[in-house]
Amino acid sequence: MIKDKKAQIAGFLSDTVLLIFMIFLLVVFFIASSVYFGFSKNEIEKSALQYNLESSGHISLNAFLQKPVEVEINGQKQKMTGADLIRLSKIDAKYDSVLKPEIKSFDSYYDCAFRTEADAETINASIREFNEKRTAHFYIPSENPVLVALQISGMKK
Amino acid sequence: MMNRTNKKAQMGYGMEWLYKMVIIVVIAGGIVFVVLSHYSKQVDVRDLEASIISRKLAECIAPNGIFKEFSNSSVIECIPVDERNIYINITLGNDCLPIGDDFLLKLCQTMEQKMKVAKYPSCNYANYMIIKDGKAEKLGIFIAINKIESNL
Repeated sequence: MIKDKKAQIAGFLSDTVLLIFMIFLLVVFFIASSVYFGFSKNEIEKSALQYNLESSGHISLNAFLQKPVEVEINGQKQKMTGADLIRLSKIDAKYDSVLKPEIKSFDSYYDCAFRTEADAETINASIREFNEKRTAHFYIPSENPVLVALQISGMKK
Repeated sequence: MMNRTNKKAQMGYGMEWLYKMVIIVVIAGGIVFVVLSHYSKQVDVRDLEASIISRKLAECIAPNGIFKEFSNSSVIECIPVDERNIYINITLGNDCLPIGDDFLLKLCQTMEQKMKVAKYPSCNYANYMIIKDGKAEKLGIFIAINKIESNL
């Protein structure tokens, strides 16, 4: 009789320990899943802003590369696109002075950094970097390929 | 004596089962609570929605950055929106095209002045450089989304 009572109490206690352990597990999994899968308002705002800057940069950079520009070559004015001008400036540094004011035109739209990369050895590393940072970038194919990127940090109203 | 012991034993077993039932209810209820609390979570996705609409509009007005069309009908055809819950203002050069409920614009301006609004809309602004008639033009797209019930 006494043994039965003791066994009952032992059973009750082990069940109670199990219950407490299960509740503890539930709380731990709840917190862990909230941390792992939970999207806070700030995170969504951040990714929305990132998407906004990325898509805006992509469209604007694409337009810039197709933008018609007039460049004086050997005393003759020639029409070309923004992409051609970038290629030309990589071949001959004297055309940097023509390219710079064109790049400056982005300043009225954004707080941004414009980057060109023509070194074949570092282009792949730069592409990886731009993909990671979700920076808008284009590859201008030519004999000496150029990678162009527009990194926007803010919009101007 | 025998009967009394049996009754007590029966009561004991009954209590034990009741206790086990409580444990099962607590664990099952806990699982249901955790799942429901995750699935019924309100997530405000209006900022993302505005960013996506903005990009879609920019691509409709200027595919690949080259100007194509800019009119009320072309914009509505490009992306049908619920005009009671959204305000879109597109500016291209000196042209301006407002669509939807302009009260949302006033709410956004109020929020910009750091005034607290209880049920606030999502306000999104984006600039795009596009090519129109061989020249670079600034395309500005402002989007305000209300949709408070489904997001807040």
